Amino acid sequence: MILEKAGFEVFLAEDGEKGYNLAQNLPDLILLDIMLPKMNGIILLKKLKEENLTKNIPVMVLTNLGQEEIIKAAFDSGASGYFLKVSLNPNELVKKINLFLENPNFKMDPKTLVFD
Amino acid sequence: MFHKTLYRQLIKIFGSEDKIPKDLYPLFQAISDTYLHADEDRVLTVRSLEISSRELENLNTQLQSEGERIEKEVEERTQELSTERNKQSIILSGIVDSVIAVDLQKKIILFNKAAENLTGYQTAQVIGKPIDEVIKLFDNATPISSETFCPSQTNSFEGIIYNKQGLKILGLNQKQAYVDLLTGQIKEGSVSNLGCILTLHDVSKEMQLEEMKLDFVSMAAHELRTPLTSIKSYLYIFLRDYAKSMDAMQNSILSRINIATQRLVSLVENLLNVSRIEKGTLTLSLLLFDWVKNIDEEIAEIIDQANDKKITLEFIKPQSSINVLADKFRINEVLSNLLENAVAYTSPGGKITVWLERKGNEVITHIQDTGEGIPKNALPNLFTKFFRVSGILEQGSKGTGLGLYIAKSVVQLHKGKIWVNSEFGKGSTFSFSLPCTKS
Repeated sequence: MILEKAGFEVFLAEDGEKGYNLAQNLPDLILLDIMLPKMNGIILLKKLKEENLTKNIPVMVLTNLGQEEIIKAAFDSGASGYFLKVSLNPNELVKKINLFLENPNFKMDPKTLVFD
Repeated sequence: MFHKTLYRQLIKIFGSEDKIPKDLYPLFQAISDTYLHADEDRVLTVRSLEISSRELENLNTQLQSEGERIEKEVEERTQELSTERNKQSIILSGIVDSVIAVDLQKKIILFNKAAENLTGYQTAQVIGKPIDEVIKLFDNATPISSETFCPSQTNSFEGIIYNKQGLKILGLNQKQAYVDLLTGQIKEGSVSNLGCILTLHDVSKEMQLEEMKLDFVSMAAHELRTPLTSIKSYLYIFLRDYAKSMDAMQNSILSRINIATQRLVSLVENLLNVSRIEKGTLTLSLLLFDWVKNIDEEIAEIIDQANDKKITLEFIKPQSSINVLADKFRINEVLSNLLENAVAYTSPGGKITVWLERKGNEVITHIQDTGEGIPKNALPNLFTKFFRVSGILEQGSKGTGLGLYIAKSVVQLHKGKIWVNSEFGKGSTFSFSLPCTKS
């Protein structure tokens, strides 16, 4: 809703498997939750980064899980960014999205993240 | 008249032709006929021998060239097979998944590089061994027999005969991993002594993530953050898009909801911090940065709040920068907590002053207010959990009572100290030290 208002074309997947299928359409950016039915976000991320077709699509992890191990797993699996949903207001989210769209190769430094 | 051989014989016997008895002519004619037939037969035989011999020669030539052609083909095929085998070998050794093939007796006939890595065995060690002796598979804790995951060939079945995910595999010296297993069979298996082909996909890392018992507090935080995100986001959008079309009362109501939501969000984060502090698992990500500039930025965040309450907020800024090695995020939580407290406990018209003091290789930050001050009896417990100056049961206390406890823990993790000087009714000065680099 917010994203469409901001002018983005948005495709929504309710579970990891659907997310994998949608990714085959080569979006410019993927916003990835971790707690997903059927296939969790980390496994999906690994899969996308292993395949030639999808490995260059930047992925922003958007979750409310803040454990260090999970953050590490996300970056190790190829995430470009990691954000706590609860900390971002819609305006900030749009700003971050634009940042990643303008710089597809940008990667956040995991060390700047401090969560749980 | 008569066959020449018979004629010669008759002349020998009777002397001349006219002496041959004429009544014996029929008999001699019959005999002559048989000689003729014999001649014909002989000619035929010779002729057919001649033909056969020619045919045989042709056949031989054909066979020879056929033979040569076949030899060439066999050579080419052998070369192809060899190349194919080499290609397969390279492919198998290069693919990430483990491939194990067994014969009809379930003995291992193929074991690629990935299988070596997965199980800890070398290929040479396992070729010819029964698969039971080499790997053990478990579905959760239940062992799976080789007859289940690698069944005996049944009547030209071709395809996937077993497919299970998330199995535990034990290899050499109980080397453990998790795999998705796919077992296939081909219908030529029974004639080529090929039992099954097992493909094992290593999912150990993924399983670890699944098995990770997300601790209660982290899960509770996640569960709390999830609805909070919704409330916060939708409220934000609503206020952004509809504030203008609402009256003052409506806006005020929503504003209060917003503030309360913010408080909840902070509370969740604070509870999480406290839990980590208690467990000793709070970690710092240290960065070198200019402390002076940092205070400037933090004050900029809170200046509006102070102005709204008509409180003067001043930072006595030193001339030079001071570099500290600290966890920027966490130490700023401390700084903003202290600044917010100062604003909260200072009445309109009051003043908050921030200044720095260098002492050896430490920088001390002082935050002084002209607020309510703290009663003497409250001072010893000020930095403890859930402590409120006004007493636990009394309404109106601001905050959760966690801020100072967390502030103390964070400052101590930085090898600093935190303390307060206060006089009830006059104001308080909260101070904390941080190690800094020599200027």
